[in-house]
Amino acid sequence: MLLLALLGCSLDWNLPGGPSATLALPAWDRAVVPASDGVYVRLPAGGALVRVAPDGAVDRVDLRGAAPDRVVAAPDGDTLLVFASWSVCEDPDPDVRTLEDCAVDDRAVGHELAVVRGASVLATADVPPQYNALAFSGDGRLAVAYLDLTQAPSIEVDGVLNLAEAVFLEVATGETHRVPVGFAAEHVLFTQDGSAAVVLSRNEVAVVDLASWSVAVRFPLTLDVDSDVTPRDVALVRSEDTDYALVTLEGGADLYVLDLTHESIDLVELGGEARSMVVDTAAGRTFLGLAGRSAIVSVDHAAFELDTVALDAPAPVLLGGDGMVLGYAPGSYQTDVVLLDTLTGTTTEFRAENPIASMALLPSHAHAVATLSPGGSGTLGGYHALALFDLVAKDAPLTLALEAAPVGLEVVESGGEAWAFLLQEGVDTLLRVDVATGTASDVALAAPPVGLATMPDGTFVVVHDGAMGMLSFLAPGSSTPRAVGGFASVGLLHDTTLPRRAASE
Amino acid sequence: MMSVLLPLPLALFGCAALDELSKSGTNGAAFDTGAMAPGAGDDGASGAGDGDLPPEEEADPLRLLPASTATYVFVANPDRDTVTRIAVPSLAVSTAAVGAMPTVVRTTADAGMAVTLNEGDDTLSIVDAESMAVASVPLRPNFNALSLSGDGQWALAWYDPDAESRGLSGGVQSFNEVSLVHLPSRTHFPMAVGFNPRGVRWSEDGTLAVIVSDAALASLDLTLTTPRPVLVDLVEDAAAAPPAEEVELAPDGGFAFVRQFGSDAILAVDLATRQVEPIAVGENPTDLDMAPDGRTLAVVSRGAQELWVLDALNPFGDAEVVDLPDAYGSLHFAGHRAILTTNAAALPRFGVWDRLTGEVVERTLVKPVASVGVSGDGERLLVFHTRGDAVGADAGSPFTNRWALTLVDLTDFRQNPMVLPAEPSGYAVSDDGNYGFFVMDGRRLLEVLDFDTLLYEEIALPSEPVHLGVLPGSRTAWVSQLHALGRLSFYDAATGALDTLTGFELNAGIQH
Repeated sequence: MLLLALLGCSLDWNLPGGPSATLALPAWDRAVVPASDGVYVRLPAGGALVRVAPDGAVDRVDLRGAAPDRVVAAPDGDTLLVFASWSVCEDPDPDVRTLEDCAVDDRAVGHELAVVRGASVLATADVPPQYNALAFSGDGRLAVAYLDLTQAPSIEVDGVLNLAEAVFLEVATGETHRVPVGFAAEHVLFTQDGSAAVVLSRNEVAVVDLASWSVAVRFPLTLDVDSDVTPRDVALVRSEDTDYALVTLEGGADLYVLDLTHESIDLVELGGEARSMVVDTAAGRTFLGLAGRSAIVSVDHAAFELDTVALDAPAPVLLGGDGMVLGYAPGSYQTDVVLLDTLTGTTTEFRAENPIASMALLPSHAHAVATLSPGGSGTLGGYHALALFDLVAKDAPLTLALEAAPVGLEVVESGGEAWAFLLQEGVDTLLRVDVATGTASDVALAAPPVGLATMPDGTFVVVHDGAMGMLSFLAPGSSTPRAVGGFASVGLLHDTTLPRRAASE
Repeated sequence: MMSVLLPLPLALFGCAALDELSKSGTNGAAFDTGAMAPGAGDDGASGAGDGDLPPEEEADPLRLLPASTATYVFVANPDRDTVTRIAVPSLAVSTAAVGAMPTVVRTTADAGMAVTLNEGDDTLSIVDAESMAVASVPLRPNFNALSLSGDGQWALAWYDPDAESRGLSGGVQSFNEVSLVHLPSRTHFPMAVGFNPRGVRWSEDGTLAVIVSDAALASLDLTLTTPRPVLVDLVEDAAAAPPAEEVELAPDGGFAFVRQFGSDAILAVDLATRQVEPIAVGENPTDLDMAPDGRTLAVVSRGAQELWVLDALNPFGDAEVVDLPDAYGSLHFAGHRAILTTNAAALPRFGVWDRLTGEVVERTLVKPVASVGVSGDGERLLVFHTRGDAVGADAGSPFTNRWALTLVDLTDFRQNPMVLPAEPSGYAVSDDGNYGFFVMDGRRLLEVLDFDTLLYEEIALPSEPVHLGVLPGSRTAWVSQLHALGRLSFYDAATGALDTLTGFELNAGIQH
């Protein structure tokens, strides 16, 4: 496998071929994947996957010679699914040891999906590498891989690829089940009892029986064979022993209520195109934010009757659940934020200094943190800013002017405290903010930051712009990050022998 | 009891058992011309005299009218070859594949079956109302009308030239054929009857059916293993036969009575001897109705301004002739009363014939009559008015040139006239007679009438209504509405709850 292009390079590393070299592939992927036992980092140049622990330990995951192409964390925080590939020579000649020994026509690429936990491969599965979307059951027992065409406008196909198929993976064993779910799948959800998966695809919704691994029923979303109807959002709710799938469509103003138990369809007119959907089990209702309409609408989970809460301004994006919904309109000139108590129906209107760019709701729903864009009419109108919302006291939001545009925001609650960590464009420090008080401090970093992530236990991970890999770990209450670097060297000096021969596959 | 709303103009409710033959275009026979002809009442014509007045008009052909039982509403989906069952109040939806292009759906009186006429493949589908199991019976080709017997044992299909037909094969077409189907055994009895079958009347005991055509009456003894038509010519010259407009059947099955267009007599057909005898009933009889007692036959002769009352068991005995104060053309039984109206002329009043006293009294209305209905107990009258006004009407009246409705308490003739924002397009009445419902063109409203208080309530609908009906034995009205994927709303007048099911036609596309 050709890993290095030995040309001029500024790497401070002793690479084969001379004192300087240029890597044809990035040494490491800045899109790191936090897990409970560390941060997993893909090393394209070294063809390796490593786990970097907060204590500085670096462990390579043995992928049996395969290189990780994509890494996805399961919701349990412990498990990762790794799309991996390796070069293969289809010539069985034992003298062919490296890719260079193999005639071009005999070269091929093998693919698999590896289930990784604790830096070890638990199982592998045969899943087409083009499948670019993964969804997990609530208990993490099952995963489903499918091709989401909205994320892959062009697909490289080597051999036959079934565009209407999804592959269900039993995570513990790696056993797979291929199910024809419908063309252009976009969303997959699992029912609460884990007995079925609901797959939204173009023009239809398929319910997959996870006992027989077959489609039990298909619900049409249109009767016009000449039109394409694309689902936008879906949620599953359960009411009185009946499972429902609530589906909204791109450009549609209806909520499709699919009774999965009794296999029937009802439509609820929403009065506008739904842009977001929040299921609130405490209220027994699902709330929808509408585009261009100053209202939040909701349907109850029994009769699915529509209720409308009028607002002063549109709130197409909703966050929350469990007794509250927070609505706002990002990407507009709007500064309004509305808090709806879903149990009482009361609303609280907040007004930020500047237009809302993004919003993060803390898990307790006691606070929310928004990044603001310049454009407000107040004294901070020309600045990027951070707004802190106390959703319990419902006071006016605290606003912090920023030096530069935010490029990364992570929020966490730990030990009764809530923290926001912010990266700003061109700023070499990390801004740490006590969300409750608005107290802000700069955290000095070992190197310029380029990204943020959070581990399941709340530990912040700062991704630095280090050539050979650098991460900093910061406990929520701490102001002293621990830097770990150099892990991207793993695999750079590896044997180029073909890892797996065709006959051994 | 059938409580399906037919679009106006339509005259009868409270006599819904009769709808099977003559009150619904879906049953292929617009016999009772008791409603207003198009444009009548809008031209300011005087109510006096008969002259060149148009015939009384009663029913518009309807297609794809849902059918209901006490717990289900059935909707045919002709584009998907299915029938959808909607349960009430759960609104649970079930769909069954039937024959090709089902255009008519009916339910049997016992609510045990739904039956679809499938014009695409000339079949009848018999659907078990509970299990949704479907049995198919082939029919003769090109039929578009369907009637079920009151006992739910029989179905008759035929071709109605006045009704829309979506499934003509383009091959040989007969205008004399009908298909009789015994539903429990799914046995088909094809047969030829007279030219242009207009409709069928079933005896209450389920032993007899009469099919009236333009020139002949066919009787069917339904007790025979193989029913065969016994034809009776109604006129000597079949080629010159006037269209038959109505038929009634005596309760003992001894006589059938036929009213023909333009004739000053009705024809009494002795079904045993096949003798046809005309009975003179005065100039231009425009309505023929059997009273709820099943024995009293009433004929309204508009030209003579007379009401002829006959004994259906002894039709050649002396008739009671009641002089009418105006040229009324339609009669509607209401308990011990009968309501007399006309919609062939702009007459702003109605007559009440008290059958106990024999007297006829007139009452003034705010506008001429388009159609009327009577509550189930016969105590309330619902009058839908024409938009046009009577000659000499007060130009300053709030009702001038506007649609209107009047609720009348027949016990004391108290009235509550209401201006309507649009033309009523249908109505229905709860079986207990306490509530009436109507809808209007282009209005997303269900109007609920309380027959006790004579007051109304408006219920907002999600979209424009198309058909309206009442679930048998209930106070729940259903309203089918315009929606690309199908929409039905159910309003319970007892609780005031409105439940809507939208997109139910998608259910026809659910695949396993």
